[in-house]
Amino acid sequence: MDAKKINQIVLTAIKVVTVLVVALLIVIIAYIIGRGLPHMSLHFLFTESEAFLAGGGISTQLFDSFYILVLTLIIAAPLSLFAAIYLAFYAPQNKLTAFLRMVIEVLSSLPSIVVGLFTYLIFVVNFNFGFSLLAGAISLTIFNLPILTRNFEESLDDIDEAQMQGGLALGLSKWKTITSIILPAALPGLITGIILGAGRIFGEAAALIFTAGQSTSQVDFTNWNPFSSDSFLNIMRPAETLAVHIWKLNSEGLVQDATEVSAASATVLVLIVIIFNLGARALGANLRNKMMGDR
Amino acid sequence: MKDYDLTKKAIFTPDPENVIIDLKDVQVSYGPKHISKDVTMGFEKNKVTALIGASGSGKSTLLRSLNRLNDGIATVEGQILFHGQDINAKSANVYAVRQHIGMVFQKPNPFYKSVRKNILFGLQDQNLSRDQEDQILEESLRQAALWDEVKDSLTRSALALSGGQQQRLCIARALALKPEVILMDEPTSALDPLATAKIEETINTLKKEHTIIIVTHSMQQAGRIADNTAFFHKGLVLEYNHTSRLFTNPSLEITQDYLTGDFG
Repeated sequence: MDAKKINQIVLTAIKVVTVLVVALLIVIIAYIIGRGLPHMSLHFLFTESEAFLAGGGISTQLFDSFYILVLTLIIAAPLSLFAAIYLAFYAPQNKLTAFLRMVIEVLSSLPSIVVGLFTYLIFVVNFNFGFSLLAGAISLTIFNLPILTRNFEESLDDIDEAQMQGGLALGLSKWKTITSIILPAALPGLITGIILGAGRIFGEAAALIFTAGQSTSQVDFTNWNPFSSDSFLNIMRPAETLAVHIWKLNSEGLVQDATEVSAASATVLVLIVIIFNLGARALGANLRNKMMGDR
Repeated sequence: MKDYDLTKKAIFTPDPENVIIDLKDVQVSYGPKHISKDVTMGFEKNKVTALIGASGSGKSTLLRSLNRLNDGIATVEGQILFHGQDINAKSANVYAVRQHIGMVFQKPNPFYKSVRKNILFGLQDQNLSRDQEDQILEESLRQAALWDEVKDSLTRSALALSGGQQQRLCIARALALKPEVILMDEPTSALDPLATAKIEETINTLKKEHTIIIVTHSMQQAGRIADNTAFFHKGLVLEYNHTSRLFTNPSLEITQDYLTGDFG
């Protein structure tokens, strides 16, 4: 066979596979949204869930999903950023650094259920946290540190080495150059990295089942005292996120309209994750344009 | 390639009164790779000195040693005397050295900030008043012949400027610190002929108050702007003299061959 023909065949094969993958994604999303959308309404989004009767909503689950996401990012983002700065600018090229990178790789391939059980034993049981938003956030932090660190390191690496040289040549220290020149320049990439990580965190269930718990507590959205046990801000209260809620409804849901609530919840979850992904791109591109000054 | 006798050197010694940077037996190596060898030469104050030579001859590496930008990358041995003080010593204050000896790079590297912030970035620790800042801003941009082009867009991103403007911005940024010496590493190699001409013009006016050491690939450029020129080969500085002498009447055969293109 001549080179041209082989090229043609391989190219066609690649195209077919690509179309299949995209089609599969579209079918899955269309199926989820198609099933859930009819049951979605403002009432559904802003009403508390019911234990047995039909007609409940997902307000607390929705809030808790965002709240645990924010808590996770507050813990995980600074840690990952420091790790990424170290790896990108300070780590010497030696065996120890290579080992560190391998550890991060291994951590990123740990099954989330294992991370969840680990957090359960250490924090929930040993440190007496109980099922709580904080324990959930810690579990999600462990689970997401590797990917956030890698995202951050990549966006720092994207900044031209000449920026560092320029800062140093002005008599600035390396740390000052990193914080005042490189980080602002890398901001679009860093933000994109955070939002993409957020999408993963938002949809995670397994790491939360044993840490944040599987039941919604009675939450008072008018109580702003984070130390009060029924305040919506209390980080030591148990919480059930949207993803866990879906799992729960499907495995042991007692509510009459479990199927509908589950389908609508899945739709909300998928839509939010899609919004995160598209938003990350748009925001990143927007910031980049602003900095480049071609407004 | 012809066999040249690399032990033969023709290095002129400028009047010690006029020497601002004096190199004594400087060696630079990246790990086991010995890049610059036995460089001993003096740079004259308020003159433009060009470093020429083929790629890999060690001229950029040497240049980067003059304001300690090789720290952490390469090992630099020997003495680099700046006003008689060894700035290559461990005890030297690297940050102060870099404020006195500025640098402009091959590729323009404006920060992702406004024109104004770019220029004033190296001055933040000096607690200047707004008036003082404005004055330095205008002065530096005027010296780099960029003021007229950017005076109405000082708050716009520096990355929106053209390549030539960006490079003049980088020169202005270095000038804002009022350095005595400015190192330039092939500052025009990424620019078109018009932008290059403007930079060369700027260099000519800058030497009234600054000492300029420039690495260049272009012999024509060295001929146009440099008072003194040093020819590098395989990490050695082989010939160093007034540009007019070096170009018209080189002492070494290897220099002659390099200048006429009859090399390698």
